[in-house]
Amino acid sequence: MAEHVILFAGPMGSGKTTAIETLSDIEVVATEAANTERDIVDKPTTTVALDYGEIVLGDEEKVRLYGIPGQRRFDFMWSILRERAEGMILLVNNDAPDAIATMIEYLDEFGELYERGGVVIGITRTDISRTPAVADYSRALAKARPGLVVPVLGIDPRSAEHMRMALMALIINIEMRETWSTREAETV
Amino acid sequence: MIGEGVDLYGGRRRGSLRGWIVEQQTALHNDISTERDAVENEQPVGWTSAAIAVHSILQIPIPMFLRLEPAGFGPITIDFRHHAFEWGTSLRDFPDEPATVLVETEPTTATEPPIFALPGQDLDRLLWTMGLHSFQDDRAFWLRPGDHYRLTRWPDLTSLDHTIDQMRMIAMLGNISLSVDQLAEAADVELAVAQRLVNALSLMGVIDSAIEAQARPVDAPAPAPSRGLFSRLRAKLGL
Repeated sequence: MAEHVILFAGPMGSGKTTAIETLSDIEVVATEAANTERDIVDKPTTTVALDYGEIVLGDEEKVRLYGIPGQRRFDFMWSILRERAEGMILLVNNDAPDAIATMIEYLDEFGELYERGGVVIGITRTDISRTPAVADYSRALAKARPGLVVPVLGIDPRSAEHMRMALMALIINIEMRETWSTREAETV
Repeated sequence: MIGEGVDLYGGRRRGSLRGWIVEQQTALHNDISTERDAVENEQPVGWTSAAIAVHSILQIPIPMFLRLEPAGFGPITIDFRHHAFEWGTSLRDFPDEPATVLVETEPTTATEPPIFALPGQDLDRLLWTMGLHSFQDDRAFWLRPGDHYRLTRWPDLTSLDHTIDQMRMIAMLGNISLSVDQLAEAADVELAVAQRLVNALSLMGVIDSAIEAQARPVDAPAPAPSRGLFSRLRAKLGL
């Protein structure tokens, strides 16, 4: 069976579990535990190992959706899943303190995926905090990692339309990058 | 035509600015190759005149207000300092071909208060829609024939009405420089569809252009219909 692994990363409270629930064909397997950092994000539980959902494409193909924990003390899970991942949707909540720096920090952790064009950045909670603007993230990205343009989208993780769009943007960007880098290599 | 219509900003004059913009328009027209002589003799109308005004203002290092009034749809006010606009009409009701669009400009300063309550609406949404509806199926006046284009940032597609083909073309331009002809061929769409997209992205300022000789020497068209995961997901999701 063909499998594709897509990660959902981002800080606690950015909407990873909700995003997977929105996209998944199956009931999401969630590993939630009491949130011990309610001073940072005021929600009762948070993901400690991973969340898991699936999109089923016929009998022979699956897209596996893994949400990785937002708290850094669980970041051993990041390295396990990073190896298998084809792409990542990085969610950053716009109301987080220094959200743009948080985005750059995550991209440093997942630099290899980023270089393959395998990253979409979804800015969440823009209804709660209108700034920074989505374009501000793109500009910061262009400065921090010039030469590669990845999709940066304002996203509501509860919206099926938004999540489908983010997933499609991720996959088409990976496919285009693979296609053109192969052709560039052939040309040189 | 720029400068026509009533002065909405308390009668402050903007004659020299108007002259500057007309000069820019004229220069843009003259820069374009002679194959467009026929077009040059026509006055831009509708959204085309508005797009030219917006593009000209974006080149000016002076803060500026712009008011557009498509006939019958109420005024659109743009504050470029805040990348925002205000319009009583929803973009869902955007008129494809208004009989006229009055255009008025007004210089401001960095410190002058906004002319509508912020944050307003994201200007990208208006520029995207306007760009797709300007110049009919032709090249925007400021674009040069044969140029290659490369994306500098993805537009926020969740806030823009778009098609899957437009998303594919944006992904292509994010990964390689392509001319409009190459883009149309690679995406397997009509030339006019690719041209309208490039016009819109250019108006939004999210693509760079380079003359053909400076573009990377990849003999473009390859992809066309995707048979990969993208196409299977597209089918699954009914997009």
